[in-house]
Amino acid sequence: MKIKSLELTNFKQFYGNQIVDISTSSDKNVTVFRGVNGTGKTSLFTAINWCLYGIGHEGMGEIVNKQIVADAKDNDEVEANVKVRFSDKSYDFVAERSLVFQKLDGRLINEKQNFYLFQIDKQGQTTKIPNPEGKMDSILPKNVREYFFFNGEKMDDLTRPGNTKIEDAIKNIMHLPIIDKAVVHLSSITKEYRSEISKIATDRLEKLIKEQDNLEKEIEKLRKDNENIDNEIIKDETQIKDLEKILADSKEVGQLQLRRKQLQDDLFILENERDSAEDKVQETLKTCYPFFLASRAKKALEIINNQVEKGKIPSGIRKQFIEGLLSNGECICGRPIEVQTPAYYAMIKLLSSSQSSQFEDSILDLRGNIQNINDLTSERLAKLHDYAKQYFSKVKMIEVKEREIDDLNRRIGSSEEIDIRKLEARLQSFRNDKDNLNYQKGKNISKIEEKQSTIENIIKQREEEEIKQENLIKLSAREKLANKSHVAIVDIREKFYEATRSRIESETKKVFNNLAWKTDQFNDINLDKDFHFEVIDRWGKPSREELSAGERQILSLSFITAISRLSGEEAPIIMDTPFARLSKNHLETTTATLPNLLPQLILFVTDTEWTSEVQKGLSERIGYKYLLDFHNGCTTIKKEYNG
Amino acid sequence: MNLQELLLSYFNDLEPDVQEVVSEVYSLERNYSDFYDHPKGILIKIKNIIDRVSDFNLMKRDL
Repeated sequence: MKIKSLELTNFKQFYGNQIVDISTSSDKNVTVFRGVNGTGKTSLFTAINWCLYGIGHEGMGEIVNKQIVADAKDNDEVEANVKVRFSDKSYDFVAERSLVFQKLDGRLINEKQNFYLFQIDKQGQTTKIPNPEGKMDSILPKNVREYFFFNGEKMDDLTRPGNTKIEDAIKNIMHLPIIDKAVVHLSSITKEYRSEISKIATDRLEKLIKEQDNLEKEIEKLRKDNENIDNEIIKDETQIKDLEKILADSKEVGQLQLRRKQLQDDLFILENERDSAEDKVQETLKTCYPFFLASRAKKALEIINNQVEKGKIPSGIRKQFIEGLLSNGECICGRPIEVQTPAYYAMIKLLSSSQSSQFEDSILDLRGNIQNINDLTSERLAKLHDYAKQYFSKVKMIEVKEREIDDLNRRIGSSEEIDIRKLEARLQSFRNDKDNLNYQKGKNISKIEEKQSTIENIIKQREEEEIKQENLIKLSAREKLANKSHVAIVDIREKFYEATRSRIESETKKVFNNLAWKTDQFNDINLDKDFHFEVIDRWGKPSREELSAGERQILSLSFITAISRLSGEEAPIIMDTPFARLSKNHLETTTATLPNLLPQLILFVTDTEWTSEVQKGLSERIGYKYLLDFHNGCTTIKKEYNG
Repeated sequence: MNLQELLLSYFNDLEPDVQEVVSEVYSLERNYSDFYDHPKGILIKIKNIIDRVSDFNLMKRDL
C-alpha cells in the first residue's frame, strides 16, 4: 500500500476543499508536512486514520470545520469529508469517509457517517467495494495500523520495559494468530470426523479409533513435556552461558592477579639489588676522593720525578752527616774542624746545600704513594662505574615492573577474588541438568515415534475394517485428510514461528546498528521464542531498562522497520512528531537511513523538529514538502519547493 | 524472500491434497480474521474444503 493523495473538505481546521499529493516514487519517498503547534499536523494524521479505519479522532473535538458550521443556515446539511487515494498491488483505491449533520437552532443533529471504498483498475474502470471495512482490513489490517501510523512522541512506549507491544506487533503483522486459529480449527474438525465415525463404526473399528485417540493424546502430552523440557534447557543454557562468562572473566582476573604477585616479588628483589648497588656506589665514592686531586698528584709526581732525574733528590751528602762532623769537631779523615777556620766555613757552606734525609725520604715516599694512589683510584673508578651501571640498570627494571603493575591494577580494578571451584561446580551441575533434560527429551521423542508407529499400524487395521463398511470409507478418508492437514499446519507453525523470530531478530539488529550511534554500548538484541526481546550490553548483561527514551524510540523504529521489511506488507510509515525525542546524533542517522529502508515515509513535523540536521538528512529523499499556514482560525496547506 | 512468501513456500512442500486443504484453510482464516472478530461459521467452511478435496481424491482413485 502506498498513499498517493489526500483530499480534505471542511475537516477540522481545514476549511473548504484542499488536495495534497503524497510522493510515491522510490527514490524520493518522503513527504513532509511542517507547521508550528496548532496548525493541524495531528489533524492531518488523524484524517488519514479516520478515513481509512474510522478511528483515531477520539478526544480531538469536532470533526466538522467550525467556519462551515458558522456559515451554514438552519436546516442546511454540513459535511466533513476525507478522501485517501492509494495503490495496493495492481489496483488504485479511493477511500472516502464523511460525516454529515443537519444544522438546527445552531446545533448539529442527525449525525450520519458514510464510508466508501472504490477500486480502480489499470484501465480506469472503477468498482465500488461492497464490504469496504473488510477490504480495507485485508489491505492493511486495523490491528496492525498502529505499527505503521503512529505518534513519534509516544513511540518509545513500544519498547518500554514491561510492554508487550512489540510481541503483539510481530504476531499481528506476520498473521501468526491466523496460523494458530487454523491449528485449533483443523484439530477440532478432525475430532468431529472421528466422533461421526465412532457413531456408525463397528465395535472393533470403534476400539481402534479410541486407541488411536488415546495414543494421539499421549503424543500431545509428550510433545508438551518436551516443550517444557526445551524451556528448561534454554534456562540451563542461559545459566551455563552466564557462568562460563563469569568463569572466563574470573580466570582472566586470577591470571592477572597471579602475574601482579610475581611482579611484586620481582620488584622486591630488584629494589634490594638497587639499594645494594647504591650502597656500593656510596662506599666506593668515599675511597675515591683522590680522584678529585688526580691532576695535582700528577703534577707533583712530575716535579719529583724531574728532581730525581736531575739528581737533586737524593742530594748526595745528607745534612745529618755534616751536622755530626761539625758537632764532633773532627772530619772523617781525623783532622780537627775548628770554628772560624776555612775548613769550618767550607763545612757550613756544604751544610747549606745539603738536604735533610727525612725530607728526602718523605718526598720519595710521597712519590711512591702518589703512584699507588693513581693506580688505586683507576681501579676504584672502574668499580664505581660498574656499581653505578648496576644501580641504573635496576632503577630502569624497577620502572618497567612498576608500570606493568600499574597497568595490571587498572585491569584488575575492583574485581574480587572468586571461588572458581564453586563456580565450576555450579556450571557442571547445570551442564549435567541440561544433559539429563536432553536425555529425557530424547526418550520422549523415541516414545512419540513408537506411538506414531503404533498409530500407523492402527490406521492400517482401520482401513481393513473400513473396507468392510463402505459408508465409512468416505468419512474415514476425510478424517485422515483433516488429521494430516492438522499435523502439517502444526509443523508449519513451528517452523514459521522460528523463522519469524530469527529473521526479525537479525533484521532489527541490522537496522539498530545503522540508526544508533552508541552501538558499542549495546552488543546484541535477542528475541526469544515468544518474541519477548532483550537488549544486551557489551558486558553481556540485559539492559532494556537502561535505555533512554530516545534510544527506546530508535529501538522501536528498528523493530517497526524490520517487521515492515520482512512482512511483505508494503505500507507507508506515517509519523506525527517523529523527531521530538531524538538527539542530534540520532537525528543524523535516522534521517539518513530510514528513507532507504522503507517504501514510503510521511512526516508531520513541528518547526523545532525541522532542524538543519533533519533537512540535510532528508533533502535528497523529499518528494513533496508542505507548510501548514494557519490564518483566521483555518489552515491552508501550501506546497513548498526544495531550495 | 519476505516472511509471507516463506510461509507460502512451506505450503508448497506438502502433499498435493494436504497442500490444497492447508492453503485454502489459511486463506479462509485470513479472510475471516480481516472481516470478523468472531469467526462464526468458519468450521463448516473448513469442513466443506476437506470434504471436497477428500471426496475428489476418492473419486479419482475409483476411476
